Amino acid sequence: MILQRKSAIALILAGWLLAPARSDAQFFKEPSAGYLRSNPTFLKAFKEVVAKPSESTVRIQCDGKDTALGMIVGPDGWILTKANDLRGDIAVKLRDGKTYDARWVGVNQQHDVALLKIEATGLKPVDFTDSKKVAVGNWLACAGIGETPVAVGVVSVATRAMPKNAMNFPIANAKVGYLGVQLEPGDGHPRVQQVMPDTPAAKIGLKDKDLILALNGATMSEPDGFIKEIAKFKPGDVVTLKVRRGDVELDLKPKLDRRPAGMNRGDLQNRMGSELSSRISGYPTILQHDSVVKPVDCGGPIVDLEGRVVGINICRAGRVESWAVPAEVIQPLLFEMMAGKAPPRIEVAKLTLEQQLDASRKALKKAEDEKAAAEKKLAVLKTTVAKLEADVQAAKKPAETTANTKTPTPATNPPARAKDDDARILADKVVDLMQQRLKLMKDVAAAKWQAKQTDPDAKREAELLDQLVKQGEKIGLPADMVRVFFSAQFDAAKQLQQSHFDRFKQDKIELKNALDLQKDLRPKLDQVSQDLLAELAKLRPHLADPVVQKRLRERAATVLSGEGINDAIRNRALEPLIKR
Amino acid sequence: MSFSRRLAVYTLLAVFSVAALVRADDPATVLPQVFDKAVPESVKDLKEIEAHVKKLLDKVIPATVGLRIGGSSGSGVIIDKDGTVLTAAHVSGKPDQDVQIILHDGKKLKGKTLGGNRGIDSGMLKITDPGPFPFVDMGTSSDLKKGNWCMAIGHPNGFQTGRAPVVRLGRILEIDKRTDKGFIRSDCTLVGGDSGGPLFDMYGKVIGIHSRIGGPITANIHVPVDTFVETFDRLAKGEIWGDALFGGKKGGPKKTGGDAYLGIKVDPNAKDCRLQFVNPDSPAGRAGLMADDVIISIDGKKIASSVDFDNVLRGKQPGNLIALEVRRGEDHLSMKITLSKRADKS
Repeated sequence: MILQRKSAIALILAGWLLAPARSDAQFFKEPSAGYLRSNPTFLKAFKEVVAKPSESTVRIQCDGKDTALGMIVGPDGWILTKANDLRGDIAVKLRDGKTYDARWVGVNQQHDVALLKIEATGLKPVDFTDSKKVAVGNWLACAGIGETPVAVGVVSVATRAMPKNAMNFPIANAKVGYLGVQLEPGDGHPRVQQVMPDTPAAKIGLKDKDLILALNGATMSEPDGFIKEIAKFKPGDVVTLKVRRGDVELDLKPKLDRRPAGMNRGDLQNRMGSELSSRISGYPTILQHDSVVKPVDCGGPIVDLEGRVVGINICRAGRVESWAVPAEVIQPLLFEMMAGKAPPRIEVAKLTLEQQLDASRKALKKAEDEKAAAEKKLAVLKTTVAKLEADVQAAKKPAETTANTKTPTPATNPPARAKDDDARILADKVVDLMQQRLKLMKDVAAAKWQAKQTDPDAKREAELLDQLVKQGEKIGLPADMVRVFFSAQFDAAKQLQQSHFDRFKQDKIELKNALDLQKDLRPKLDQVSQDLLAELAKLRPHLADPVVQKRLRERAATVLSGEGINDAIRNRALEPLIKR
Repeated sequence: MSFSRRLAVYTLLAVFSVAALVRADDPATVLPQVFDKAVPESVKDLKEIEAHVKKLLDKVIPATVGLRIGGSSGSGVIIDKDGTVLTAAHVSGKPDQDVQIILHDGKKLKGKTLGGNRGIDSGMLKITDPGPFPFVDMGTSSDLKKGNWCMAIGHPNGFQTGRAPVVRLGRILEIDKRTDKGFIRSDCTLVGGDSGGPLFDMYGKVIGIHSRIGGPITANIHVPVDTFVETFDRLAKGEIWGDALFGGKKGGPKKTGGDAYLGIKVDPNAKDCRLQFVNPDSPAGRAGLMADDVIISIDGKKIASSVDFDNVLRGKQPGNLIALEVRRGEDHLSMKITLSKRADKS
């Protein structure tokens, strides 16, 4: 059964025997004729075709190395690229040479696409078209960041659904569980030497140098033993690995895959003449074309002669084929990923940082609750003490009866004082939160300074305001109050940011390690705003109270100060709460 | 006078309209101007090519077939309404074997293999189910020039359900017109499974049959169609002739002497024992030997040339375990390989 296929392939490989009169070396040389599609002379015809799309194409670099191409899918720094080869620190280089640090915000593993975000605005997004509009045999150009395409070719097969579990060329499987790591002996445990791409190990986020402590609770000490144990599981089984990475211990639950066989014949032929991508299987829908795309040039847009993007080049899949994921498949994924519904695969190192942030936030909230509770208790105690003092005073007066001491009639003064104290606490709380918000502006200013985006974003501000008004209404706050109050907070914030910018400018400060506005600061700001809304709702019934008005001014004078907060900023922030 | 003049004009018009009709019905009879240029120079040129190729494809894809013979897969092309199929000799193999022919839409038909010239790798078979079938004409390969546009269609990696025949567009890079050993080289990429599939010119005619590949992406070799035309009757009769390209009796990797088979070809021009090819399905291939590896010693005996290698292997039997020392770039490798028995593929 195999024989004929075998002989067929042997023949193909051995073709040069036929031409003994010629030097064999001649066939192994790449001709350099101008009419070859890889030749610049030929590619020139496509200049006009990629003129626009190449403006929307970017170079993706991981840990400083070219990894893929990508395309702009939103003017505010949204970049689509190929997911499988992303790792480490990701940077995006635009056509004009500007390079930005990128955040990985979304992924679709199945289609192998990733969404990145850079802090840039005014970018030109690609123009998508349905891939089914391009017929078999039609020209396709793979845009790069240069004047001519990185490759050109024709549609070989129209967009099609791939059979499930289809491999590009047959790869034998054993019914043995497969994790996808190379191991070496570590400190008493197997240590990961290399994580193979597109394997369960890669998907779950195992990293080089991870120490595998235990498998399903059983301690692992030797690589061989671990491999044997893993092989006892079947493809599809989920195992629990206890892993030590630096100081952190993690529990990972990879789902095992089938163990691939070594390279077979088809594999060998398919690898002749061009480098293939790290992943060449498992794509649900593809457009097949005959452009010879380098793996490092995948992730970019592939366009028809009108310059419309019919898909994203996803892999160099074999000797005769490159694959693209069609535009109509990508587009719905974009919205999903932009909405944060498809965060990147578990990056354990990042996860622990995020976990830390989460834990810290919770701790902060708890401390604040405790503080509030303590303040309440303090107020109650003060009241009690005041009342008892009054009682003691009263007891000393001869006119008082003993009966009164036993069952004192409710006195009006102490409870009123207690009420005032409660109101004061509420006032303090609001002012303290206003201070928290303003204090964050130092970091916000730094982040914006680093990203060179110091202009206020009026649109975002308006949206935010609308959102806060809505949320306020839910807890009974009048729209006007919320609008006026937060507009004042935003104004004060902007004034404060500007004073920071002025300082940076004056001192010629260049920032490198500023916090990330989107990732680190906005969540904090949002949290403070939420708390402010809640506290405003509590304070509102007491706002006209002179005790509260006085307290607000006093508290603000002491708390809203320092770190660039001057009188003007303080007054602007406080203004909406003060009655005239 | 005026009458006769009018007639003349009418005649001319009629001639023109016939020509126009031919162009409209069969656009491939006159090539768009862009095909006279060395390279397309503008988007307009590219569009002209695109439009032309699309028209050709509508005609040639239905004539391209997938083939299954036993467990092996290949491609072919139907060249008459009765279902005569051109393919490669290494796909059709022996005459009178059962073949499954798979049309572009997945429809499966029965057929029998006919003859083949194993030396040039031309083969033929016939669909035995009743026709008529979509077909294409054979063209002329001797007219081809370097730089001519061409189109390869076939089933790379074998027929796959749900995948239409796969299209590649390219140029003729080289033509060897010898009748016994000629070939066409193009930059239409090929891979296993394409074997036997058609190479078309821009008239939509078959000019070659896919045969084999070399290392570079531009080394794709097709059997010239002229040999099919010249030997049509012999092929149709079921005659088999010529020495196989590889793995056969005389033209094959003969270097293992008697029956013992390693599965390599030594570069005859190299000063050392440098491997030119390794059959991936041989003891050598399975052991991981690669082209460009240099054999330094076998069983401790120094190997300085292909002659040394031949002499040592000639003394071995199938089943013998040999110890090889190999230089790969700057690395030295040692491996033990069990020789197999040379298969008779005829």
